[in-house]
Amino acid sequence: MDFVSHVILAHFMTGTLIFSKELTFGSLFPDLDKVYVYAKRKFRRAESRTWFHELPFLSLVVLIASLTHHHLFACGVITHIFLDFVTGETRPFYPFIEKKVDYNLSLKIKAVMSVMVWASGLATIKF
Amino acid sequence: MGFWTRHYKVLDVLWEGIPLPKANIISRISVVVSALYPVLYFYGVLNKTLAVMILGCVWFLDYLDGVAARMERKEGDDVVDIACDRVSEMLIFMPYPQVFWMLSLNIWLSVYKLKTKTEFPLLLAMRQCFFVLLVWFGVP
Repeated sequence: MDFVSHVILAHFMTGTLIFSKELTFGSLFPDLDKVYVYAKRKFRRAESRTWFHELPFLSLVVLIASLTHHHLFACGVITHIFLDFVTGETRPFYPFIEKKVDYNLSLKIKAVMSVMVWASGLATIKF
Repeated sequence: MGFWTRHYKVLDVLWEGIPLPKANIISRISVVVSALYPVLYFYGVLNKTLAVMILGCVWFLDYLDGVAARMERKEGDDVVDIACDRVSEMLIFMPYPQVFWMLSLNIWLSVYKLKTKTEFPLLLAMRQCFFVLLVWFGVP
């Protein structure tokens, strides 16, 4: 899903209706690998995700965030994992297991979901 | 076949003749239902009854996707099942940073289990234990 949907959903799921930088950074953190994969011209499905985006690495990120008392950051990462998992194609245990989990929704459905999330987020979250 | 599956596989006869959705759909529904727990918790509306219902539902769907997978003859699809379990756990335990180390440990144990294909029950039954604690003590 797109960046804005991740940020808005993170705010909704944690009940944080005032914009939070920590939560926003957490919800976008897994997408940092896009800088690398877009340079490699891989834009969709599981090939557009690296080990940075999957459970083994992100579980360590969540753990470190909780130990350093950045709970909102960890919650942002978890909501990102959830949204990608139920709407896209992932390789949850990459790089150790290559197998894909494909709940990939069509682009039309994703676009409709994004519009709904954007509209409700912009109406309720105080920036 | 998993360690516990051997024991509760006998209950599959109860589902014969009943049309079930695909195992993948049941798994996805269980992850979405798990997401209700942190949402209700953070909005302050979660009580013991709702928490027990949500976790009970997740536990039941987890069992049901195994039944559906066996009916579809896809018993080897451990990765999907285990991945859904881990994501579901991350969602349910999102309000409790004190146990994030157990989430991380369980994910790495899952990697080890899938790589070695061991049937030994390695994984922490976090949701099941939490269900029992919820019933006994209520929502923490």
